[in-house]
Amino acid sequence: MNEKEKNDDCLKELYRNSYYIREHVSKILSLCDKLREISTNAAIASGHTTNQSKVFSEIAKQIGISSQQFSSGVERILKCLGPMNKKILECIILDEQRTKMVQTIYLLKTDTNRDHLLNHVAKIEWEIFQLLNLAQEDLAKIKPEATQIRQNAHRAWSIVMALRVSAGTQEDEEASVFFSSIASALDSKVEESLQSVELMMSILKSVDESLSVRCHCMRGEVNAA
Amino acid sequence: MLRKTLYDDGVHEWIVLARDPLRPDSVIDTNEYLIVNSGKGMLLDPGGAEIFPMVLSEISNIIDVKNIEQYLCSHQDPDIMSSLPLWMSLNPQAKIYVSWLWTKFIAHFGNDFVNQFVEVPDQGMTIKLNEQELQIVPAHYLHSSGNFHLYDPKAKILFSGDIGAALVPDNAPLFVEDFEKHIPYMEGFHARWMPSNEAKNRWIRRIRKLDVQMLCPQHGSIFAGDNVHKFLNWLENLEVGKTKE
Repeated sequence: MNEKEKNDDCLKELYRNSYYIREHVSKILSLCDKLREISTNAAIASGHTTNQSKVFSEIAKQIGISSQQFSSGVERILKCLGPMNKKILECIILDEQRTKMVQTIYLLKTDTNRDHLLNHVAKIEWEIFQLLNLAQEDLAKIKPEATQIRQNAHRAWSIVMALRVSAGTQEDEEASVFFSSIASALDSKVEESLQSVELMMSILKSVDESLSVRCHCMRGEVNAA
Repeated sequence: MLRKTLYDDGVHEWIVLARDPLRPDSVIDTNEYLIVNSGKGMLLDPGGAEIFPMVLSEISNIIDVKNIEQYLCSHQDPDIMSSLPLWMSLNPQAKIYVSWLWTKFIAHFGNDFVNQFVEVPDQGMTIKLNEQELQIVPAHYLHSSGNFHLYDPKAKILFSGDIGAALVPDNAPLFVEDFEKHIPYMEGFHARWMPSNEAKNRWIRRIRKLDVQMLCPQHGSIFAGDNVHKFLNWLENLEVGKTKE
């Protein structure tokens, strides 16, 4: 694989990864809906209980807060992700143009158009460099949001654990059923979200590294030009 | 890549570029025609993005790309103009003559140069390259619904897009030498690609009124002299719009 193919692959891999982030974020968003639904059901159920109504209502409220925090974080990530993906895609298109221009320079038998083509290639590289820098800025906004989402996912997991413990230690049967049924409803969804969050974090890390490497290379190329 | 001057009177020149040796097998061979008048150029059907490096490097032997002020795209196919964003990125001031029918579709290749489109009306138009008049001639439904050819009354050359096109072997001569032997290379192409006998015959009637010494298609070999008339007669008798189903 030559240098050019490596660069192509690097940008395309970057685009694929940024697209996968969106996939995982969308999964987390669907979890938010589920959490909201569980919170509503728990709040309704708490109104029908005879004992510990206040505790049940507080649990429903906490799940609701988690859901809200989740979804606003996800919305903020999606807001930055769209422009970032678009910039990376623009880089791929520009890089294709750059390739054609460089191929032409190699084929030239005269000096006519050589300077024009060299300047044009430098201009394209500068545009790619700027776009990648801007994509890095978008990513910088995503990273703290992703960390916050990860904390929320762990918080949701703690709620599930606490509910399970509470269900096991309750003498009141009504409370035990309430805790265990909410824990069961949350369980698989929270686990799914944790997996998505961890995958998203690892892809974000990879995108961050790719962008840094690519920017570093481009900086060298631009400086050399 | 084959480069041949078809006409040159010292001021006005026609050059053809053909038989690109670097072209991948998956890409159909195309002919690009460059008209140069007192240093200013017009490129007819600039070609696909795949062949852009070869075409531009070859053209660089003739003209500065900044002096290519006009492009004609006979129709909308990718082998005709997918290189257009590349050309336009090098000379954003150039004009692109194209059927009004296709401008909004072609904008999908890149919206940056949409202001440079000159929408050619259905009846065609006369344009100028420097002081030389050139006629954009209607060829609708041959094969595209918005299709144009270009006639140069000075050189007596007709650029005929896909009409006269032939799927010839790579070593085929640039000019048709034996018309009868050339027929198998173009018969299937015309029968399948040209959808309308009525449009074909209307075009033949129109072209017979012009003094055409050379008929230059976008694929295959060029018809010169008597072969132009032989071609028009052959096409007149060919039934088009056929598929083997």
